[in-house]
Amino acid sequence: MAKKMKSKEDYYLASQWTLMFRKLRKHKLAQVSLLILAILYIGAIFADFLAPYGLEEFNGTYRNCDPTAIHSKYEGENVGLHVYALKKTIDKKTFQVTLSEDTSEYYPVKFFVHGTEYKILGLFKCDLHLFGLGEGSKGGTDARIMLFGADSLGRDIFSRVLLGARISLSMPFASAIISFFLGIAIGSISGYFGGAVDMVIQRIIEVIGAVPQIPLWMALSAAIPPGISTIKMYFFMTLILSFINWTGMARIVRGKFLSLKNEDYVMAARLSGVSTWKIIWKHMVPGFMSYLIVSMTLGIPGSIVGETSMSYLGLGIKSPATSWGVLLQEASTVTDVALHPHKLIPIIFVTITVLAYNFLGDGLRDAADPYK
Amino acid sequence: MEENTNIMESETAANPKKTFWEGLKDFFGKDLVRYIVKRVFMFIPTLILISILVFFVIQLPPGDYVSAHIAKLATEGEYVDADYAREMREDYGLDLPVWQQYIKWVKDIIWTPTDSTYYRLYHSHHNWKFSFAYGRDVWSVIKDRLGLTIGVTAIIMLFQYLVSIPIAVYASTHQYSAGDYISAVFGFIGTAVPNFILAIILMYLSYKWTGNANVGLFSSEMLENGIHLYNFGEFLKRMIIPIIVIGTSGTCGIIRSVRAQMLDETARQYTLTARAKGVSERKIVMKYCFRAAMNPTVSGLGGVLSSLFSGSTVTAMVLNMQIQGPVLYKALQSQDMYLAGAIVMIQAILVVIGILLSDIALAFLDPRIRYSGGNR
Amino acid sequence: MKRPFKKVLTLIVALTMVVSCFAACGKQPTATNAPSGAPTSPANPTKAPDDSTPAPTEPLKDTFGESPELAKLVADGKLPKVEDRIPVKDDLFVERNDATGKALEIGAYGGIINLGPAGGSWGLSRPTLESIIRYNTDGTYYPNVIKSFEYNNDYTVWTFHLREGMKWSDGEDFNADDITFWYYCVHLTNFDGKKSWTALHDGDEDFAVLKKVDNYTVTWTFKNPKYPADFIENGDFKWCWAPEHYLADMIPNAGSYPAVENEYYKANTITDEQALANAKAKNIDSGTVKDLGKAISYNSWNVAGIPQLNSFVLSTQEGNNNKDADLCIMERNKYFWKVDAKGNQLPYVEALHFHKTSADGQDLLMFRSGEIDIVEIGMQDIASTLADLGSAAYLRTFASTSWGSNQITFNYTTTDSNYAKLFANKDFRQAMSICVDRKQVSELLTDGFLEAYQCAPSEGNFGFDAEWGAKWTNYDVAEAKKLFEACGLKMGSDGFYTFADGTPLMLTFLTYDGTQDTSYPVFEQYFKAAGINCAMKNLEVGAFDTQIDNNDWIAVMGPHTSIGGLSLKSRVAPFVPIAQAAEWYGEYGTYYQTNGEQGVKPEGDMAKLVELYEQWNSTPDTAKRDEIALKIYEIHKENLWSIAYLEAAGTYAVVNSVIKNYADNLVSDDLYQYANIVHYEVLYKAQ
Repeated sequence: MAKKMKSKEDYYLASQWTLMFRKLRKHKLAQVSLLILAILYIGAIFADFLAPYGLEEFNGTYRNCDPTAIHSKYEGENVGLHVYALKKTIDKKTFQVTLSEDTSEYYPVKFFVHGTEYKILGLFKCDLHLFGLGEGSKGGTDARIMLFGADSLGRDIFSRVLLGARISLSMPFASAIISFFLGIAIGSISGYFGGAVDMVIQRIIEVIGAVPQIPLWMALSAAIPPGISTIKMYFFMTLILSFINWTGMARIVRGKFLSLKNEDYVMAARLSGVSTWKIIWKHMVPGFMSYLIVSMTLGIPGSIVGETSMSYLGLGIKSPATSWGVLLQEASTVTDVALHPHKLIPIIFVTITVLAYNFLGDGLRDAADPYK
Repeated sequence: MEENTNIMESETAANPKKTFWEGLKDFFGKDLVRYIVKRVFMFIPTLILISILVFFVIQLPPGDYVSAHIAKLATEGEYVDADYAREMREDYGLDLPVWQQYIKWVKDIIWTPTDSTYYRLYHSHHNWKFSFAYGRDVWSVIKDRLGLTIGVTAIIMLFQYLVSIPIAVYASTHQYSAGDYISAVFGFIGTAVPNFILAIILMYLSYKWTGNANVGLFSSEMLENGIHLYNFGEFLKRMIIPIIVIGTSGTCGIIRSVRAQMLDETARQYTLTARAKGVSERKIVMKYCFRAAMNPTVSGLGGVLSSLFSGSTVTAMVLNMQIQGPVLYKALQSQDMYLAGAIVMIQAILVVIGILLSDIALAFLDPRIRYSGGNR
Repeated sequence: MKRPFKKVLTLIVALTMVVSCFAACGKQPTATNAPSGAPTSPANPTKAPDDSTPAPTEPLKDTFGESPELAKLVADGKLPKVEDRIPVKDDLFVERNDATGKALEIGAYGGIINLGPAGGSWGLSRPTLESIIRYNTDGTYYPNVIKSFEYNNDYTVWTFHLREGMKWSDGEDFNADDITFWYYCVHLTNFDGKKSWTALHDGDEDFAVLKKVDNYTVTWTFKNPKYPADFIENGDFKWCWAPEHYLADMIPNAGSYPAVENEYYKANTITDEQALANAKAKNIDSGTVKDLGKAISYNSWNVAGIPQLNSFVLSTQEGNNNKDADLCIMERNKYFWKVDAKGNQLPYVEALHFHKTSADGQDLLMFRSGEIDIVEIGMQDIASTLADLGSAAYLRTFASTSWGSNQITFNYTTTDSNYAKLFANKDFRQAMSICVDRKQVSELLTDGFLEAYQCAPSEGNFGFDAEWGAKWTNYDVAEAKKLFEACGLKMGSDGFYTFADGTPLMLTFLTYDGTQDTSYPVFEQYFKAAGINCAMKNLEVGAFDTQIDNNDWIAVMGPHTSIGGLSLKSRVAPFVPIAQAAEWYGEYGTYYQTNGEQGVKPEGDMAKLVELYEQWNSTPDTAKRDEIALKIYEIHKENLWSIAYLEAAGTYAVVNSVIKNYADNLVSDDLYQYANIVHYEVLYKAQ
């Protein structure tokens, strides 16, 4: 009984965030989603280490090869996990390409092998990879281990999915945060001051929101100077995404401001001479912060899918950088669907991420609902 | 005005039964009229800003139609000299400063005088100019696909509502159950899988299973003879893939918003009161279901009008759907600026009109929403 | 070395034979249509296939066959009898062989051939256009629309004979008036948007004088000798007629144009607006008179209602009557003037249907579904398509006339002296060529189907030279680095070369429309490994061309106008710096085109090319011309201004098995108007 009382007391005294977190625990799917997202983001951070190969490791023989088969028995003997090298034969009449395993030699699968050099978190040089292949039983070096097969330039799709996740997972997130702050700043100015300021901002929001996205994307990405570094390109694309997305957030903030600004506690603050900015940041924004975070979370999956569409139109991230959208764009031919369905594996990652964000967003929404 | 609506809000919130009458009364009331007049007045600066932005957007990519056109001729083995390019630019007025081009463009759209060549030839006061690529009046290019775009998009939207509302209602009445999760996964999966790749996979599977990939909405025969009763079945068959691809990509938003609305309503005091009074759960759900479903529809009106006009672009391209979206994309790509400008401009205007209509409708449907708010 | 030389020799001998045959004919018609369709000269021995012997020609009977649909119209009195729709028997074009010389099967009437999108302004013309002459794959040609032509001894008077009884597709007579109308009212007035074809130039200032001799004979008279290569063989000179009865009221007053006031042309009083209004009355929309002119008298196959001589004519049915329609229909020309060996009026099929698609790969899906019958296909898609379809489709290969594939080239006229000096050095080009492992590149980009090659004519083409094809194709990075250093480059601390003065060397490869997106990364790794820092800059094609025109570029991957092609006869611009066309000569071409007003004066071997070209242009002697052409080739071999890495890829088409008479081993080239060489009028659908 006392315990129950205590928990009730806890409930009334708990901060808004604690309450939200508590309610979030009811939404099982949201929790699972959070876990999945955590795994994906950690995977992206340590992508260099987890991926056996780099972004641009070509291999002519392995072009479009299926996921590598992993064997354990070699000539009837158990020699541990191993793979074989592939050899290619082509038929110049029918244009048929056949890849077959060369079983004359096996290559053991090993953990913590040395391979392509990279920088951990962009700081320390390192060439250790979680897994890879050792030297062949006869000293060969031709084999590759490609868990998801290879793309049309013989690059490892597994590695590319991991390395591409960095852009695909962070860009929408970063742009959501930028839009978040832009939206709060502009929306609050609009809502708090009202009048002419509000009028002008409202018109701008209306106009940007009204013009269809594809022309905006095309115009903005045409403005990106060509031949720039990956980091700059990333920066530009993020800005474009934010530019297109901030208006929604600003509109929500403005609406909330309009309904809050006549609330008694805001009036009280104003009357007691608190500065305008302090009122906005200390008294008003926290009042609907949870609501904003929910809409921010729900905006991310849209951006992820949007990124893939833009890549499909050739407006997204460009080689040598890669993203999931680029990977899917490369696999979107009839021949790939017919002959190399393994190239569609990145869809699974996009789908899982988008679903996870959606469920997390729903969970947060339910949790932030004050009526519950 | 702020105060007025506040008073109204407290009144109506206290007595939900009077909502409809209140709304109707307000509809003809002074406030609403003033509100509408003000919004319509606001429409003008918005339009000017939109037209500037649109013109800027279609001008931004490097090169103009003439350079794009000459380059295309060169790939076909034809070389044109600099004179020809210069004359072409003069003919189209592309040699003028951008602001002059803009002013001329807007002026001709708004009003082309009776003594102009355009009026004498086309008997219209609104000269949207010529599409370079089609060699035709822009408006006639747009008109070609207008009816079809509206029809197809409407069918797809209908599908979206028919699928998502039941899912949302079920999910909200069975919150956190396995059914809630499963239906949500089903509803969200269409959004999660990128449309362009889903389209290719479905078309290929369709070929594998039925021998026909069902590319495009019409068979060759329909494109020649038109749609009639005897080939309507074929048309419906060809609508399956677009409905799955585009339809499912839109369900997510509707499910979420209806589910949220339903959850809100069921937690409200008056719902609790109704429940306490012994009104059956089923009746309660049915009652709030309508309002919950109306809300996203009405507030999404801006998007609805615009997408009825152009349809989805990327997916329509992948599916070879004969609607406006791909025309726009092609026009933007080949710098067919007047065609692109017209489509983007009309779409943008429709969004603004849609928002205006939806605000008015929301104000009418739900008086708690303030007139000055423009809440969306 | 020996074998190719022998081949070239045989070729020269053969061509000399052809020429002597020409010369011997003298004033007689040099080419007639009896037996029509047979080449005017013996087949080129380098390419003569065994089965090319034409079937023994049977004389035509007096009765002619026609499609059942047309016969029904005749029976209903809606169409004249077939005999009245085609030229008189002696002037008929009898189509017996395909472009490779193989005898055609007699086809069956009916059905529709479904094709992919119509494409650009020339798209609808490719399968349907009938031009003045027509080529076989071995480069021989014969009169096509005209019955025959002849020229006098000093090449100053050319006579065209027309086919008596030949009709426009609307049933009106086609005769000499349509030619004078075209020349004086359409072409010389610049109404068709073409600044007069060089084929009709007479010296620098003047134009040919055209005269009507009788209803079926016209003469072109020049003051200076006009050789076949610059006239009848000129690739631009595809037609010289326009339907006067239909176009006359749409042509506005041309203003003062003294050169053309004569008995055939009198200035009219039609204003621009009237012309546009008259066009509008015929359902032809146009924004400006210039657009109207180009639409109705240049790419006129794209405008519904305009009478044609082509095998298929754009339908007037609303919704299907323009090339951008979702379904564009080209209907059989009911008055078509060709018959098969049995006297059946061609074409066999009722219509060509062009299906618009909006993304890559849709045509392949529609081909699989049987909705499209013929589709052009990339090498990488052939196996999967044929695997899905089995015997329901067959593959057709078109030989390519390109000089290798994956070309790169540099701006030899760049204003940056560091780069200009570097590019001028042949060693640099050699190093750029040998620092790439062509075998790996082929594996990566084509699964090893294409062999390593240089920018050179491929086997079977004029000027083939195995030594040239293999030049600088060995893979040797150490040697490449040595050469780079010999060019005065210094290795910087970052592993990339810099110029001698320490400024960094950065090769920014301009590309257009993403065509090199896949291949660039492959080449980049080799260039970077050899110490050449590089980047790719992809532009929309218009912006790309603008940048090239402005001389604002360093290097190009996948040039827009690449060096090489079938031969100088096809098109000169890719071989010689005479126009503002190809990247490899940049501003040198501008210099020639503007008569030295702009651009950079060519020097050394570049200048020699132009010199040789002028010699080539001023002789009618085919053997001599080929000799000069080979000299031009020799200079290209020596300099390799463009580098290619792999052999030229052919083009491929997959064809539904129900389509018959689709020739194999064709050649895809601009001179043959690409798909035109398939001869769509003889294709038929097996029942």
